[in-house]
Amino acid sequence: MRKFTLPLASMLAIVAAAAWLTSMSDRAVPARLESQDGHTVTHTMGDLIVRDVVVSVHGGRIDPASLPAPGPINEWAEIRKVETDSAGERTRVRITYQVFHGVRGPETAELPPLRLRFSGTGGSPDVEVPPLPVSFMPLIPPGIPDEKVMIRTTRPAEPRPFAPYGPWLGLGLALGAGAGFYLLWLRGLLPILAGPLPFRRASRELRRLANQPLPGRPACLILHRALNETAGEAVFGDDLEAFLARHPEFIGLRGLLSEFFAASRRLFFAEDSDDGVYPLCLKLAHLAQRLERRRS
Amino acid sequence: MVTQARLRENAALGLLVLGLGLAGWAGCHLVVVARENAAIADPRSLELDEDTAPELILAKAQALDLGGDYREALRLYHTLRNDPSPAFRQRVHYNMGTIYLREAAGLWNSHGVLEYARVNALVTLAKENLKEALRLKPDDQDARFNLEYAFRITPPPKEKEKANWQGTKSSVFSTLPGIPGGGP
Repeated sequence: MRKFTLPLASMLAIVAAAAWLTSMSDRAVPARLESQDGHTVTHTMGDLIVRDVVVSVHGGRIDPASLPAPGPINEWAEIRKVETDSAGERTRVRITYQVFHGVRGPETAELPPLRLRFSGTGGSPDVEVPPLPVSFMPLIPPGIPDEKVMIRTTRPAEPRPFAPYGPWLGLGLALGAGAGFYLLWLRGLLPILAGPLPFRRASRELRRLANQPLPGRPACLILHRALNETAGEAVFGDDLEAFLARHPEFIGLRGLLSEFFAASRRLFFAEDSDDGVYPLCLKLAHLAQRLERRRS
Repeated sequence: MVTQARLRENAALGLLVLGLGLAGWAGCHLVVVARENAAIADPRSLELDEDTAPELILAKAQALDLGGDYREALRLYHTLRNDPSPAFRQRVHYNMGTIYLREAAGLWNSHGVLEYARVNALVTLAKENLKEALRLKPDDQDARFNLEYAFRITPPPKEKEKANWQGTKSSVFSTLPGIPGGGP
């Protein structure tokens, strides 16, 4: 029995050591390169090349200091942009190169290898990304001697566009014209659009009476005619409220209109004096002219 | 009602003033743009000063270059290299690179490596400017073509002169010119 004890113990120790090593390696999976885009496309001078590197990181994070910095990396390539994107246990490093490789015939060159460092992973923290072979071909057909190549010419200055100012000019003119027409219409200076404007005509006729010795009576007649024309019927002092109900634009003139009807009554029926009637009519006609609108 | 009518009148007056102001402002700019475009179309008589628009300077530089004065054209282009507009800067770099390249190609094709230093300097400047043009606009086919040609005519690296001088002290003295007449 004793002679089996030592081998058995040794075997158990070996099995235990193997199990421990396996569990340790399960817990510490190193970051590992999963894929790198193969570039089958042939490139020419000035091309942008996007290099996608995918690394499985198992909980680790990429060390930003290990990422290549934008700028020239050799005589014919420079890094324009470096982006990283992590999703789950994968980190994608996208590097955009621009290549300035002058070739006379088809050639292959290699973008240099990368060494990316990850933190928080077991095993080796660095991931080696192998060089990326890239094919090039010339833009100038091979076989043409240098002295026969016609270089592209310089470019002339471009005329400045009128673009922002033309529409602004149109808008300004349209706005000004619209506002101008509205203003003219408001002031009754557009006879075609304004229709019959009795008070405007009355105002004009009243001004002609200015030099007459007794302008009160004709002024009253003119204003009565304008009121009647506006109302479409004869308007008397008693009808004033009905008139204002149909033409609310003149409500603000209620006081003046009442005063006018009273003065008219005194002048025509009480043979009162002419004094003060003409200025009243003129003022009323002037204010009414501003309020009257085109009627349908 | 009188107040409302007055308000409407004032509003209409305000819109009238606004519209006419807008039209005047846009009209002034249109006149300026029309004048500048006329100058761009025929920049020969254009007098430049510090207020001249960049596009006019480019037009003048282009006219000078076409007239054979490429050095003055390059001087003007240099003043435009820091323009804030990337698209405009791209055209400036393209034109500069193309002028350097054209001069380099002329020398290279007529003299070859005999004009090594000048060709090399001009090609280097051409490549720098065309690369910058391509950085700003990678799909510029003309800049790509010209840059590739710049690489084609880049002179091969000049061989370092061999340090094979094997003179001795006596041989140095033997190369000194003697004084005529046997002076001291």
